[in-house]
Amino acid sequence: MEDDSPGNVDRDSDESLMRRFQSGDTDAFVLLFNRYSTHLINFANRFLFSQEESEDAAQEVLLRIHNARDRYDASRPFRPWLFSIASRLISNRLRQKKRHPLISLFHSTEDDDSPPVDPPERRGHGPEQNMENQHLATLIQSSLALLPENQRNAVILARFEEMTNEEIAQIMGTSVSSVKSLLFRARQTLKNALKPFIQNQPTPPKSTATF
Amino acid sequence: MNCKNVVQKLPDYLSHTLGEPETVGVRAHLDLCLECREESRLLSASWDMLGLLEPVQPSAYFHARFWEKVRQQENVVLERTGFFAKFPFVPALAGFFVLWVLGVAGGARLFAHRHETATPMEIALNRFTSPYPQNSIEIIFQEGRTPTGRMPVTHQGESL
Repeated sequence: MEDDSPGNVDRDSDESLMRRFQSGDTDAFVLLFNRYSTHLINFANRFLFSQEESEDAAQEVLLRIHNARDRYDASRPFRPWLFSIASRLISNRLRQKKRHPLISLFHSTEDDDSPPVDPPERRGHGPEQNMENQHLATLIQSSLALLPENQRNAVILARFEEMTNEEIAQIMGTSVSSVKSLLFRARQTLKNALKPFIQNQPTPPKSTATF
Repeated sequence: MNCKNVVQKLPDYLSHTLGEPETVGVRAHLDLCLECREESRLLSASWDMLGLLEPVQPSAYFHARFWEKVRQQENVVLERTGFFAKFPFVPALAGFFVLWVLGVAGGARLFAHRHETATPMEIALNRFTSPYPQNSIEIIFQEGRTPTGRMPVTHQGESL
């Protein structure tokens, strides 16, 4: 079975797919699209907290990649290029949202400080478990929302995209030491925000992702 | 290694990106210091908690909508690279030509209209300013002479 995980190094590596796309192979772009669309939607969703807006942002990123294929330098890694485009675009959207805030008719006004949550699909759980999971999702999203944009960017790239500090620095256009500093401060904020929940837990919550 | 140093190094220690001698130093400190151990546990647990955010899946029409956007964009590009993209001056030239035709036609019509219907003021002015008497035409046709006694000539000097 073909390994369709991002960043695998073979003839279907991101860079060689982009090279094929540059020479007119549209199927190569379809492979890249399938490989990264969910990643991009989730990346955007951790900033925008809305699936509709996130899908829109992800489509815009992919459309830019599609249009900028001739400008891509295939000797440079694809992922940092892709996520730097995504970061810039999402940053612009966040700025627009701040300038022209929209109030959702369906979002409760009782707790306006917490971001709206798109509850994930959870099959096989009871309603109590669902409520608890939803509460947990809100809590985590709220603590992410506490972070300044650059810290959140660094955390999301490190935690969810499992990128190295060097890659993050490349995406954010900064030095490795400032990425370390951003991550340090972000981790402190997250720790303080989630501390009450962690201390109530008998055992630390399990996660499949590495630290 | 003191507590301040250890806290600074904890993120790298927890992500296994710390060098071997420093890792040993931090581990040794954590074995002895309860406060730093608690700090390490909280940092690790809060980082792990982020993994509980379930990923969203693309909606049913995500792919279709994207390819529709690509098609729309390609159509726009095709329109831009069509006849008028190759000859961008054609619309401007055509517009100029239409305006010129309208101007000429309008001018001619105005000219004709003015000569068909002179205003009473123009008639009165003409009467006083013209060197010819009012019945010049009748004199020419009935008496076979011009009011001044000279026959009109063409521009080439031929007698009419």
